[in-house]
Amino acid sequence: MNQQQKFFKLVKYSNELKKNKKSLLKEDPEAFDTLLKVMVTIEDNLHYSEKQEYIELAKDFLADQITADDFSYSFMAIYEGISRKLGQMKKDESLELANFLKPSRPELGDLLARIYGSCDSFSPDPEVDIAMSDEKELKDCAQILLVKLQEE
Amino acid sequence: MAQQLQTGPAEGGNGLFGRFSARPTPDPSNPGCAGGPRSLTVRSSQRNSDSSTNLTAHDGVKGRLTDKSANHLTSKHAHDLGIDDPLPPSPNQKPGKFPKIRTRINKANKKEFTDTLEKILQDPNTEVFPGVSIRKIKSHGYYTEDYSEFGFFVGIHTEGEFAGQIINAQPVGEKQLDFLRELNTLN
Repeated sequence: MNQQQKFFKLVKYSNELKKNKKSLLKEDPEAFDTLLKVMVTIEDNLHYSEKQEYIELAKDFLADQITADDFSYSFMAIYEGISRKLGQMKKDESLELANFLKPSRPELGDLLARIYGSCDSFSPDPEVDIAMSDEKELKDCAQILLVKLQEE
Repeated sequence: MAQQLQTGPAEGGNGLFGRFSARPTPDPSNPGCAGGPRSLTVRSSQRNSDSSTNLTAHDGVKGRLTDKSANHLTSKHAHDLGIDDPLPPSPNQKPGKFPKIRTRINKANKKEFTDTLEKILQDPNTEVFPGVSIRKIKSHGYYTEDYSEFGFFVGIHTEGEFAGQIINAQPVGEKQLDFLRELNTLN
């Protein structure tokens, strides 16, 4: 059985457990970790496949065509939308997953996850005292994201 | 593009660490977007004017959800928990593949959001992450696969200005889950 077949077998097993209200994490932590690593690679590649969405968003924000608040919500929408798409592909055991299995851009995934945190922590309302990022931090994030995506 | 961790007064007045004694613990595994220490600005507020809801998790840890936090988190993440009451898109919003969603902030939505957080915290199957670092601040975290389409995390700060408060309530993708499990870090 090759790596791809093993991957789909694990996805199927995980889905079967879920249908029975069980969790792969609880039933077989080692298999869960193996599957998670592959899913991270696929997620990285899916994000990269939508890089134009991120590039246009970053450009709009750096050109002051949208506010920091709009940037934060829009970035999270893209990020979560891709995670949602991946979740659906996994649930459907979509063969399309096989197109994203090759490890390629781990640094991009790290960067996007950290930018998500900055966006999540942002609020333009000074009364929201838990806000821990500001417009400058988001601008820095947008600039770094743009450089990262355009260098590839 | 390394930035400095602002440990002195912020521009124009009292900075976080000029007014409050506890400092976030720098986390070398979480360098922020720029790869270097990240600027951290926490806004001060009139704390007494805010009402709170106290929630207790299945491991006995208590978390306080202030009204302002509930507003912020409901607006950003209520839709991830199935609360379907988005504000209409702004007129200048560009159509995109992934439209942004802001949930309307009102009593009913905040109550439903808070009730769902309570269910997550009280679920004994929720995985606990003690000492998890959330944007460099030590916290107590809870992860569940059973809410949202791809897992959900709730975090309570255990140090700093907001110790004891529920500061994070967000969906968690594969990479973020990997950070949690490998590095005990989120965002």
